[in-house]
Amino acid sequence: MLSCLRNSFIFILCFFLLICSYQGQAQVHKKKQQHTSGSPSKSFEKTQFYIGIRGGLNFTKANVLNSYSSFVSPSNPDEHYTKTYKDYATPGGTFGLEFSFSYENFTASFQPNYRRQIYSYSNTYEWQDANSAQNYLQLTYTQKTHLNYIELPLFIRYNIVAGGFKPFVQAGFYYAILNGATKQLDIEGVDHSGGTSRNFSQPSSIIGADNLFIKSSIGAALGLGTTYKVGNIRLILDATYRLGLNNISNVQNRYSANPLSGAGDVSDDIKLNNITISFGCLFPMKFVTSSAHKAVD
Amino acid sequence: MKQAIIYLLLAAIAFSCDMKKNKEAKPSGFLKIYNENTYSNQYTPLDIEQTSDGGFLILSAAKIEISAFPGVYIMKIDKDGAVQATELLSDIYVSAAPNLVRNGNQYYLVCMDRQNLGTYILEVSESGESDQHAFIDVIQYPLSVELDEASGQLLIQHYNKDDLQTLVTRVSTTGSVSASRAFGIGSGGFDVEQPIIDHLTGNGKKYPFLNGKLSGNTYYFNGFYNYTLSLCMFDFNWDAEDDPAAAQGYRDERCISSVVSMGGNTIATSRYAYGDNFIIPSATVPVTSGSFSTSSDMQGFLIPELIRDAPITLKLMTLNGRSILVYASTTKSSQVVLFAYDAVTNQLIGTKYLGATNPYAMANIVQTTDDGIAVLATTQVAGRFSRIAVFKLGKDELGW
Repeated sequence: MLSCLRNSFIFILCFFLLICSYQGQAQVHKKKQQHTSGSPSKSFEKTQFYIGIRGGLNFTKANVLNSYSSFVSPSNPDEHYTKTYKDYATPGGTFGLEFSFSYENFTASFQPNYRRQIYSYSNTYEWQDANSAQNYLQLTYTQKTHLNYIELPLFIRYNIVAGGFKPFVQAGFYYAILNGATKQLDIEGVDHSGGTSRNFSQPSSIIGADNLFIKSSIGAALGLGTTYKVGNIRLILDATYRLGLNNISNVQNRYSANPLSGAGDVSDDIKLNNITISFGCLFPMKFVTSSAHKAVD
Repeated sequence: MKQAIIYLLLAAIAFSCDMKKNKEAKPSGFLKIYNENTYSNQYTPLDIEQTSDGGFLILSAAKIEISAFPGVYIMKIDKDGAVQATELLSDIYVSAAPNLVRNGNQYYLVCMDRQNLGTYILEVSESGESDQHAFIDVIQYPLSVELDEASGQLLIQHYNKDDLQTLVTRVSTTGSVSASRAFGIGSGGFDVEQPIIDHLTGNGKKYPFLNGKLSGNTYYFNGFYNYTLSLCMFDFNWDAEDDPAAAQGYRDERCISSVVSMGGNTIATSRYAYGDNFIIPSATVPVTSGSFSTSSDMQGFLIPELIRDAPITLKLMTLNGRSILVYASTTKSSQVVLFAYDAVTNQLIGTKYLGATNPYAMANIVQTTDDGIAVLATTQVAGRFSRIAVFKLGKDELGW
């Protein structure tokens, strides 16, 4: 935990040093340009610094690298008890901040956010008696995993057209720190014993699953969106696809820290892919000194 | 720009630590549940031994249609828990004694004939194939078996229904009897016949029948003697009329439940009394003919979380260079629990609870070559299907 906090601190520090170095360079350039071109206002209007807030929904897909189960069939080695995943099925929330630095059509954007990513899967098991159809039980274990991440993404954005309405494309990478994880287990079944077929379900149980995942998640991101100028502020709407690049399951704890392994559940090796749709509001930090107090855009 | 790249590289290095560690990591152990989708099959694991390839041989009782006595089921798994071979033996073989006896790389099981109740000795290969070595019709109702390391022979505790005796017989793996000694159960108010049959069928209380060697020429058995379930010490060379030394119990309600010889007349043990369970890392027992004590004289640590009259497996292991007494049993909350005691100081050094979601019952444990422990258990999948479960615990996970 301490090492994670330390890592997060280092990352944030590095990022701000990066921004500062850009700003420092920009100021040096500005001064140089003031001396050489003698037109400080044009150079000044080429850049802008935005601070904003964002929120939205995200949808997750677990990309399975290797599948595991604690169940083994002694009589049928080909039975692998693989899980059935639901892709991009359950929305999770995202909210955070945005710090953007624009230079003409390019923008460097840091968007720290807190996000809950949710994916789910199910296992269905059957037990039957070849001699008696009445002896039949089917159980479906549905597991919903909630992962809470503090994410630190960095994007480079390109505005396709200029003006009040600015569609853009963006690409970048992210590093996310796991803040907490839970698993929700729902069991449903069909039971033929007792003479009558009956469907049943058991109350959900929720367990902590922090130890089943490593702290780090990294990936690349690609997205598109648009900003729209309203007065001095810019509204932003974008959709971003995140491609996870590392296995987030804790390999060492695959069996040992999973209280649900008795139900056959063992974490697969997975990478997370995610689609995030977010809406935000960006506030400009640089204004042209005039009676209208107009923001640089 | 150069500065920025350096910052980013530094950040990437700092963050990549747990990802790199995770990429190189291997699970510290495993849990495998050997689940069949058949409705009526039931398995009750008995013993586990590690083979030279790092895998495991598992001996189980299996429900069979033809008899109330359970059949014998052998499974070979590899070091990661994958099934390599299974065999349900012919239904003439029933009620295996709950020990898979290991002598070097040879493994033996002892079981009963379904019809005439005589005793079979079978060798089990490392790949899980069985081969009958001997049938001894004079040894009936085999209850427990242990290896006599000095002679390489088997020590079998068995029951003589006609003479109401418990016997311990030393027999070669080919069936030659080299020594035998009988101990009178007596015909008091406590009838042992039905409880022994219920023990063998698995339909009643499972008794902690044990036998082995204490030290020198002193052997022991934990079984019925003189109306009670007692721990008895004896020497095959004593005169026939010499009584054994005994730590007596009371009927089948107060008795010893596990034994490990610690040299001389010292043992590590456990006992139960009227439902309560006690762990006793060190105790002395009488060893001269006719001397006796009672098992309740052995004080110990009351362990209230264990089930009533809990089956306890006790093994002396060397883990991380330290001699440790590992007690394994079943809790009232249907988990398997391990208690580790320092074999020198007799202090508790750790506990480990295993199992969730399904109920579990401890069957046996074995030390693995990587200083870990494999725990064999019965689990009730979906709350109703009795299946074999194996927990393999790495030494990091144990932390002892």
